Parts: sequence; C-alpha cells; structure tokens
Amino acid sequence: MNQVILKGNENGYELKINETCDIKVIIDEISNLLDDLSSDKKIKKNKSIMFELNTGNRLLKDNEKDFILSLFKQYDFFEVKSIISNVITKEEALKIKNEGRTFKTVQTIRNGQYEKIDGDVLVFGKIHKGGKLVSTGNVYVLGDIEGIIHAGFPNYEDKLIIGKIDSAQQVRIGEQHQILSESNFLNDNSSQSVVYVNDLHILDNGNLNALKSINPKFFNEIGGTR
Amino acid sequence: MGKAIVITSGKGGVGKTTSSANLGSALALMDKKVCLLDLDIGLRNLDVILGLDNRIMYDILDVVNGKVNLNKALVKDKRFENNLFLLPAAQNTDKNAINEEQVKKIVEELKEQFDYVLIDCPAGIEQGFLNSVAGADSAIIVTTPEISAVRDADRIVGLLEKNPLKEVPRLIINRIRPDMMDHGEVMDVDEITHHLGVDLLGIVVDDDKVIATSNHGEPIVLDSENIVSQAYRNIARRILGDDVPLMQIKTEKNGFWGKLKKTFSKNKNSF
Repeated sequence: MNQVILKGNENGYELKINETCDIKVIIDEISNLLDDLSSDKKIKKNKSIMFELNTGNRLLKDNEKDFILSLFKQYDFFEVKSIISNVITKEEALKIKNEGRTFKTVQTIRNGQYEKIDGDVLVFGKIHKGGKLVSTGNVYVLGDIEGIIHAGFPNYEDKLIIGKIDSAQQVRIGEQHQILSESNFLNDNSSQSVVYVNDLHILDNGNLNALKSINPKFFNEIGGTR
Repeated sequence: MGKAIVITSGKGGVGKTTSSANLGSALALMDKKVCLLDLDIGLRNLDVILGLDNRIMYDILDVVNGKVNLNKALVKDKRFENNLFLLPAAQNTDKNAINEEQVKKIVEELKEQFDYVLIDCPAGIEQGFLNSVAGADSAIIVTTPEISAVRDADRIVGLLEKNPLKEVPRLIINRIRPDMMDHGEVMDVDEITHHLGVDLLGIVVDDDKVIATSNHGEPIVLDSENIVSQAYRNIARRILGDDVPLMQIKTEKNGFWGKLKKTFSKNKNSF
C-alpha cells in the first residue's frame, strides 16, 4: 500500500503523507516517486512543477523536513511550495494564544527585579525604584510606578504607556527613553497621561482625551471610530 | 526542634551583626538556648562584639571539613550560663569556601540542640547571602532610615519573595535618629514599613553607647537601663511570640513618638 499518495489539483500536485507510517518508509517512497515522475515522458518539464506536502496529524522535525526538501532539490523542475500539517507545537499554540492578549500583573516589582512580558500589560501592582517592567506591547498603569517602564521592547515605536507615571524614574518606548526627574517632560501628570513616540522619533506625551490625534490607529482599534 | 532565623540587610553597616549579638543575648537572658552562627566568612566580627574573639579554637570551616565535630567548635559565652554559644566564621578564606548544602546541614544539627539559631548574614547578595538563607526558617531584615539601606532591603525582600522561607520576613528599622525623622530629613517608620510591605518587628534608636559597649565586647542588651537594650529585649520578646506594646520613651520629641505609637498600633498584628 502506498504511504505517499500523489494527487493533482488546480495549483499543481499534493503529496498526502500517511501520518502513522515510519518516516524512513516515507522518505523511500518520495524518493522513488520523484524518480518515476522525472523519467515519465508524458510530463512536460519546461516549467517547474509545484508540490504541496500534507503531513496530516504528523509534525515533521526540522531535520526530517530538510531531508525531504533535499530530495526535491535533486531535480531542477520539482519544487516544494509548502508543507502543511493539521498540528502545531504547544509553543507555537501558546504564541498564537497570547497574540493580542492583555496581561495583568498585580505583583510588586522590587529594586533590582525585572519583569518581561510579551504583549500588552495592565499594571495593578507597584514598581519600586530600581524595578523594571519591560513589555513588547502597550503598558496601562493603574498601580504606583516609581521604577522604569519600557513599552514596545525592543524597537516598536507605535506602542503607548497610559496612566499615572509622574513618579517613575524613566519611561521608555522602543529605543527612545526619558528620565523624568531631569526634565519637565510631563505636560500632563494626571492619571491619564499618554506617552508616545512622535513623528520626529522623540518621546512626547499628552492627555488621554487627545488619544485620537496622538495615535488614530490605536484609537480606532479599540473602537473609537467617530 | 529549634528555629533558625537569618539576620540580613543587603547593605553593609546597618547593624546586622550588632542586632544578631543583641538579639542572641536577649533571648539567652530569657532562658532560651541560642546559637549564633557567623557566616561573614573572611570578615568575621560577631565574635569581637560578643568579646569572644580570644577564645576561638576552631571555626565553621573546620566543621565543614570534618576536622572537628560541631560541638567542639562552639564557643560558649560564660555570661549566659549554658544559653549562648557562637559558631565563628573562618578568617583566612572567603564566602565561596562553603556552600548552601553544608550550611543547611550545620543549621539542622544546631536546631536539634538549640531553641534559636541566629544566622548573621554578610552584606551583599552573593554566595554568602545564599549560604545564610539556605538553612533559615525565617528572616529578619535590618535597615536604617537611609534611602540606600531601604533600597537594598527592598532588593532582599524581592529575593526572599522569589525563594520564600517557611515564614514571611520581618523588619527591624535600626539607628533611628528621632530628630531627623521628626524634621522629615529621612523616611519615617511608617513610610519605610509601607514601602517595603513587610511586617515591622521593631525599631531601634541610634545611641552612642551601642558602639562604646561593643568596643568592650559587651552587647548593649546587658545594660538593662539603656534605651537600645530595651528595644532589643522587646524585639526578642516579639520573636518569642509575646504581644509587646510599644515602649514609652521619654523624649522631648513627643510629636514624633506620638506618631510612632500610631504606626505601631496600625501594625499590631505583626507583633
């Protein structure tokens, strides 16, 4: 019985690979199949033939993937368009799950401590002087901030820090930073400051009321279409 | 089975060793069997403050290396009958000479014989700190009202939160100068306690006599009239679980002590 089934579709060929079969058998079969195809005179070889590999509920390891791709590379006119699978790793699933999610943190980040979060974060806890919160997304502040907040790590300048940050040591967005004690940086030291990177790539700030003009894209994303 | 308490601070010079010596002495006076464990290896001075430096024969390294057994290395303080012993630190090596497992083993062994094992932690957060907290059941964090000391205490609280001991840490605010606190030149007791988010175990005012007596190898606790002595005795009683009200200190700065009293009544649960 064939463990690798060749099917034609409108975009080219699909190789359905039996998900329960030993990978060595699969490799042998693909190798034979390509050999047969290349010697078949009915197939026009003037332009390359695209294959899509469907592994079903099997997840190929990187080295298995590389080996199979190398089989195709032996022929000038065979090419793999994509390898598709019904399954993904837990790691990848977690990444997808956390995309666009807002994390919440209630802990106290003390002197010398460092907390890194992939995504937006809502801070209920305290950040003491010398503590640092680093987020790849936006940071929304409800707690007391005396330390450092870094939004948009490492270089996303479209991120925002929103909330009361007048006691913070530093605010950073992407690669821009501001030391609060050394400047009259804050125009608005209410609980509704918005810190952002402006068109000149300089950190600026304003009141939450001005969010629409500060970052129209973000404003619309959270439902502010008017 | 006794209890091991580490006395730590992060910053140096805030009074860890003085507090260890005095709390150990105070507990011994209350008829508890106490062993002081000096882990400031390379820079020992708990022995000097207790006036036991002349009597040291062996140190903790000799015990770790199996040169002598634990009881032979203990130095007895004759002023306290059979209640106070010291296991001295080694002098001619550094903090990396022993590891957490070795300390843990010694502390476990001491806990079988003593009611309290007080571990004098070195400054810093390196191996010496890790060794000191390894065998401890609870921690006393010593700070002064200085920002730098409070900042380091915060770091220590953070480290202890990441690797919690059996009991939550408690705080001693040491070397308080009432006049400065009253004038708002340093953080007050309430601010420090609130900022660190740790239960207050006690406060100790700054007094020249502490240095004067320790220079003679005599812990201040032995002078029952002294204000610092009373503070340490109160802290010792709180360690024993007694509900000790704030002592009334006769001072012209009534305003400050009034404020202080308020702080204590707020934190009454912690005593």
